[in-house]
Amino acid sequence: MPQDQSSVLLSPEVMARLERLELVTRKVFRGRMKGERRSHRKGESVEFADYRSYVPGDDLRFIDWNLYARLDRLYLKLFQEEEDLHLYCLIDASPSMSFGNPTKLQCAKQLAAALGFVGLCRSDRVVLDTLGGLKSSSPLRGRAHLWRMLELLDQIEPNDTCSMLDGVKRFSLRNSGKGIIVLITDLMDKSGYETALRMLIGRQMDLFVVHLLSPEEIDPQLLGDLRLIDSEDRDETEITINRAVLKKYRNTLDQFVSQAKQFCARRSITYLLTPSDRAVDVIVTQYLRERGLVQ
Amino acid sequence: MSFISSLPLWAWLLLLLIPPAIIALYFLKLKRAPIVVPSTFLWRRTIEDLHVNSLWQRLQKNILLYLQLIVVAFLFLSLLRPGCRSESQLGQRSILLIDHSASMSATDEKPNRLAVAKDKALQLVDSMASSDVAMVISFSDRADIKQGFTSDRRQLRAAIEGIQTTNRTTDIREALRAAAGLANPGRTSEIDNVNDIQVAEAMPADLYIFSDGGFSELQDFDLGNLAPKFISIGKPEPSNIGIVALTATRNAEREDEIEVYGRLVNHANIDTSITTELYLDENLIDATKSTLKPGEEEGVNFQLRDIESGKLTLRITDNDDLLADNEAFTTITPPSKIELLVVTKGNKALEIALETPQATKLARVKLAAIDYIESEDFKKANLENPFDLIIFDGVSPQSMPFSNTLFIGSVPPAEGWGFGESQSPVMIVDTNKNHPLMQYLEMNSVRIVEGYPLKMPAGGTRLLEADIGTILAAAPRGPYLDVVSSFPLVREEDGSMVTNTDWPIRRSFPIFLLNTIETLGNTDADASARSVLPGQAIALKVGQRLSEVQVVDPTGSSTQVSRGSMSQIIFTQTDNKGVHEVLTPDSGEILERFSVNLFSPRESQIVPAEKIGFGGETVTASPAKTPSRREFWRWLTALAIGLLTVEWIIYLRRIFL
Repeated sequence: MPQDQSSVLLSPEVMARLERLELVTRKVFRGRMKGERRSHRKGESVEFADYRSYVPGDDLRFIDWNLYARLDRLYLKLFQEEEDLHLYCLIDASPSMSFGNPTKLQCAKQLAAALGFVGLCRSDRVVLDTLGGLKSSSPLRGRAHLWRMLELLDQIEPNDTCSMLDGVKRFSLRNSGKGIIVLITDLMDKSGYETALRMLIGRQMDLFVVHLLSPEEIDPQLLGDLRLIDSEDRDETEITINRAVLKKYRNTLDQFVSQAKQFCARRSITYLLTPSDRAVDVIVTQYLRERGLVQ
Repeated sequence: MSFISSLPLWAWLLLLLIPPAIIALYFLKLKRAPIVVPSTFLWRRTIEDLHVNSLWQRLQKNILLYLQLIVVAFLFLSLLRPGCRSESQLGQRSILLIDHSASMSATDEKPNRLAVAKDKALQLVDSMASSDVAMVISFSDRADIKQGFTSDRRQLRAAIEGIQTTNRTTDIREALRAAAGLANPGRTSEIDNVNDIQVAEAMPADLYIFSDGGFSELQDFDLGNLAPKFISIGKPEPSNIGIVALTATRNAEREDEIEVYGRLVNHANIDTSITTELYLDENLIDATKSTLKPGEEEGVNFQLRDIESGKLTLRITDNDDLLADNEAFTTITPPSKIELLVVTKGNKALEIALETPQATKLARVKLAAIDYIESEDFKKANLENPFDLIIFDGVSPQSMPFSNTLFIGSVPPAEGWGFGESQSPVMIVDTNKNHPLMQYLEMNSVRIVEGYPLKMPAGGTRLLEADIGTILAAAPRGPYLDVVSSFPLVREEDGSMVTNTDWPIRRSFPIFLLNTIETLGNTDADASARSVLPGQAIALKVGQRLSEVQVVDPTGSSTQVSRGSMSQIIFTQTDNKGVHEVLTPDSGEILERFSVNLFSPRESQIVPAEKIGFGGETVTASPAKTPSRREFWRWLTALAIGLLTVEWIIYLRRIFL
């Protein structure tokens, strides 16, 4: 039976398109295991990289004896290192993510699934975690873990309020490795997102922020005398919404997005704003590709 | 601009609580709809500056509250009844009475008085407020409601502009009755009438009378809720000489000679010399010059010879302010005898009295026995009405004939007539000498042996009163007149006829018969045709023979008129002055001629009245414009309602500024 595209985390068509992609990082990380990824580091593999002079202590197995015969000097052959990459998908699972159609959380899960799939296909280590902090997966590696990954994502539900800073702290404590962090969030944290992002940058990780906003946040269809109730802290705001207020709201939103973009740009964080109703394969293959997360 | 407070102080104090109440209710009434949003983070940042001076911000931002306060302000202002002084405003309900009688065609005002009256009425209509209503009634000798109460100025203007001049006389009574009927519903408007009470809610109205005042004072008219205003039309010193009478009479001595007599009246206030011309069938046959002093009447005489018939026109050649009375018309009709039938058992005294030279000149007498009127021949002939007068002497027919009758000593078989118990002797006590039948009669010396008290139908006239009651009376029967004497000339006693009264040997008897022939036979010495006033109805006697006749008016247009069940036709289309001819529709034979003339001294008297009287109340002529107050509260209330509608629309459509 065909399922609604929005409710399926990864459809076969999307998987087919993603299969050819791979995750890219701008930073050099030491992989824990041999992977399929050519590292910037020199190591052991079949692919020749360079020569260097022998220094005492080097592994004699890598001395190029033919060269020694010709030049009477000892040189070591260096090979390209192949290693794996850590992909951390950090999903904001706060109640505010349950808005929109499909919900922002659903969109975030689809995005994490897509990136995770790309990582698993390339034997990268994929870790899924939520800012709410209730669930955290053990690193997954290899395509065989795809279903495990999807199962984990399926179990993610909007949970109790947790500030972004607390979520990041908890994430940092649980995951000590380095790699790519894709933070999928709406950044709607009244205490601010800046400290949390700084903490992630401090771990020398390649950070991507995918800023999800539902259409009702981008262009709210509200008018009249209303009592707005915050879905996270149940905070109530009495407001008379008219055209002027709506215009002002849009200005505030633009300003908020612009500040986030600027903050990220200054700290080499890749920032992507996307509405929650945008197709996830488009986000991955077009927007994230443009920003260098996948190639 | 002035204000009139329509509420007491305490009411104002209560009302002043409304604006604060609206502001308070505005804040209290707000029922904000709860809506769960992802985060109020951005909304809070949005309204951060709105929270500064939030009360003032709310006031400033919300147009609905403003509109409500403005609406209340307008309503308060309405209650203060602001207004200003105005000079040309009609009352709330106005009735415009416009005179279009003959005198209103006088040209002392240019182009004529009616045009000026219409102009003034139109000015009043133009100054009407939109909520005012008015109606238009034109009147001459009758009233015509041209336009019922309406606030539509276009209709009122059309009604006024549609009023045309007429040749009719003036009688404002009917117009006033129509106006009073609207202002005093259920009332007869008769003064001193105790039963004249208001049965429905009165609707007071201003009554504007545009007239020259050429009508008599209405002593018995109560205007009730009508507030009359008389707008006199006409210059104070108009010049008019009018013809007020024209007759043509055959000379009693010489039958071929006709005397034409006209009467002229000078209503100008200066001596005026005029030329009067007499035309026979539009050919000038005589003329005379005369000088009339102010207010003086003068007769003009013309003697005509060897003229059998024709149309006579008397014309004043000099123009004055009223041309309608400068011409008069009459016709000369050939002499004719009436057909008189005497039904009697035999009465020598009656036969002798009808053989006098004067009686034979006026009537062709046919004597018949009672059998004759019961015969089929008579019944057939009766339908054609061959007799102008039938005298029943001591006999009664089975049914009343289609002609005038005189019953002597017998009861007519008509409803209402009857004899009482026979009484003897009978003493005459009074004679009604005002009646044309009883003119020149001296009856006191007449002795009557036996008679009966006479019962007569309603509407009858007592002619002779005796100690036993009425013994001679006349009563109309449709178009006919029946005269009944309750004492016979001869009576039967012991099988023989004996004299019952000595009246036949007295001079009054043949005179009475002559009066009877002249009055009941409709004959007189006048050679001229009947004359009626313009618009007045005339009874045309056509008998039973014709079911319809054709009437040709002076302009040449003819009207077909049907008779109905009566032997006469009431013809009302007499608006055009001149000689009208009544013709048979088939052969075109002239049955009768009658003339329509403005013989009305009151219409000829065109000096405009300065005041008019209604039941003891005198209304002085006043300018059409009256000082009044122009009120604005209706506009303000309408504005308030309009604003309330706008506020409601804004509320519904959430149009926030």
